[in-house]
Amino acid sequence: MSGLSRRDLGAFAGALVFASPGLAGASNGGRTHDVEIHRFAYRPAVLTVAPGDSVQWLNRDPAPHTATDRTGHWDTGEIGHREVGIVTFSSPGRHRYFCAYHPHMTAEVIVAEPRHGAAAHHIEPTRRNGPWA
Amino acid sequence: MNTKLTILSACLALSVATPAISGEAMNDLEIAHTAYTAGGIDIRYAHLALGISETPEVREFAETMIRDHSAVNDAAVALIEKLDVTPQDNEMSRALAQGAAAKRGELASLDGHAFDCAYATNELAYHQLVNQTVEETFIPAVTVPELEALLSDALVTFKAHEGHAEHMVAALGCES
Repeated sequence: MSGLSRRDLGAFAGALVFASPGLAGASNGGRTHDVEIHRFAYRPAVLTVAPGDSVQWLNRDPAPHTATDRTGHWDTGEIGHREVGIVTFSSPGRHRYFCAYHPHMTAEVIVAEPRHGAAAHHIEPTRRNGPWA
Repeated sequence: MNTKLTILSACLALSVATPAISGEAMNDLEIAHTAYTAGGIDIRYAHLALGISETPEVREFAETMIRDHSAVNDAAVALIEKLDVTPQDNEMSRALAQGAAAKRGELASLDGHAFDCAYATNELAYHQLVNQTVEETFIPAVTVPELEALLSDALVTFKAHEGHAEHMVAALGCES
């Protein structure tokens, strides 16, 4: 990640890791997409992903933020400076979200429909947080 | 008008007592000290609000102030430690601290809606003053790029706070 070194992670290693049993290290086969939180904005503001993909929020601000689903189905929890929050999306749909601490910050994740003929599985969004890797 | 005179005059409007003005420009270490002091002042206002206000919006705002200003100040400390320097006390820091002590006394004598409005309007005015100072005086004056970057990021945070305070003042129906 430009402007950051993995060395910076040292002080944050192990901090705020919300791995749930069975999820840590699990591979869902999907891609991981980055959303940068910088200067109180999510970039990109609209992100389209495929079912099974994960979104990784990377906080470059000194202030902590969250990515919180407006319907309450998922929440990264607090993401501190140079920390990440990760949510895996398996169901198609539009997920408008905001920062619970700074509600004027809004963005959206669009989970695209699977290709015709592919089975759609509903799996609750999963969350993994930790230091910026 | 000399910018420093303008800032200190604004401090007067916020019940901040001002000592004699030296007229000298602030250096990086003085700017770092004052920026940190300003953040600490707002954290103390927020703790006072959490001790007095029972209004959810005011309490949420106060919690955000504690969270955000603590994070910015932590980043400032990390930078200071990295640069191995010591921030320098100065008359602006002292003026801010002195005025804040007086303001806390005023706020502590209030309760209910009167406190909420006094806190909200003070937060708006305080952030307006701090943001003007950071944007027009501190950032143009700093010589260390990392300090400039930190102040620029902090300014974005403080401007978000200013907007939040403005919304809070309106939502509370405070008289202007």
